Amino acid sequence: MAHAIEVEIERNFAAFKDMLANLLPQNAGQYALLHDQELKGLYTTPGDAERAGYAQFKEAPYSVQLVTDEPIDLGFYSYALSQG
Amino acid sequence: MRYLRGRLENSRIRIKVGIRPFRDYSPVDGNSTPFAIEYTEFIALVDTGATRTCVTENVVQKLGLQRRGREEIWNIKRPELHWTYMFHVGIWPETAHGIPPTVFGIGDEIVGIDVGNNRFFDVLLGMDIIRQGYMHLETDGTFEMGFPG
Repeated sequence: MAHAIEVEIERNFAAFKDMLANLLPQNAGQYALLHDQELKGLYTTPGDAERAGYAQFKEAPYSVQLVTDEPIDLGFYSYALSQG
Repeated sequence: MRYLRGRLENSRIRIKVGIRPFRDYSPVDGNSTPFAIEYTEFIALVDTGATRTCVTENVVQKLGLQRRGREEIWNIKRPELHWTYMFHVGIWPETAHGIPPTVFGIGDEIVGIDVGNNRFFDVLLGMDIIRQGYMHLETDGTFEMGFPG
């Protein structure tokens, strides 16, 4: 199950990056709900996106991505390596 | 306003924080394990250079945080993909007359990012949380943080 979630997140993220340029002008700062590499909704808070995702898909995998092109800086951890 | 006060440790601000997974829906039928609603205590390094709050693998494992997205993070050499998780951050603010503090949740849920384990802290408290209150440093090495509520 965990593997299925990760695969879904990876695929959705790839699809999301392709959508990002079109989303940014009107939806920057919102949270995108994705399922099966499709945009299912845009929400003001991550919690709203999560609630909508659970309501629609229950235990089936889905993902939530912030609509932004601003770089993320992790300060102290700028030297860190990811967990996979 | 809820306050935290302390002293720098090796020129760093470390505080006790609580982390609570974001789960505001009911368990599905057949799942007899109730969702934990309590905050679990961890040590956080306050990092004004971090735009987002991060949790170590230790936090992810202890709380069973579920991966919910990906973020591209630039480190010193190249961009790398990190997992994201949704959770709440709380503190145990100071109280008067020795009354035991109760946990105080800071703002709404946030989307945090995973980082590798570190022996000095479990949470990297970034500006997404810090900017919800204020932080004051004194020349004698003490600090104060305050969060509205």
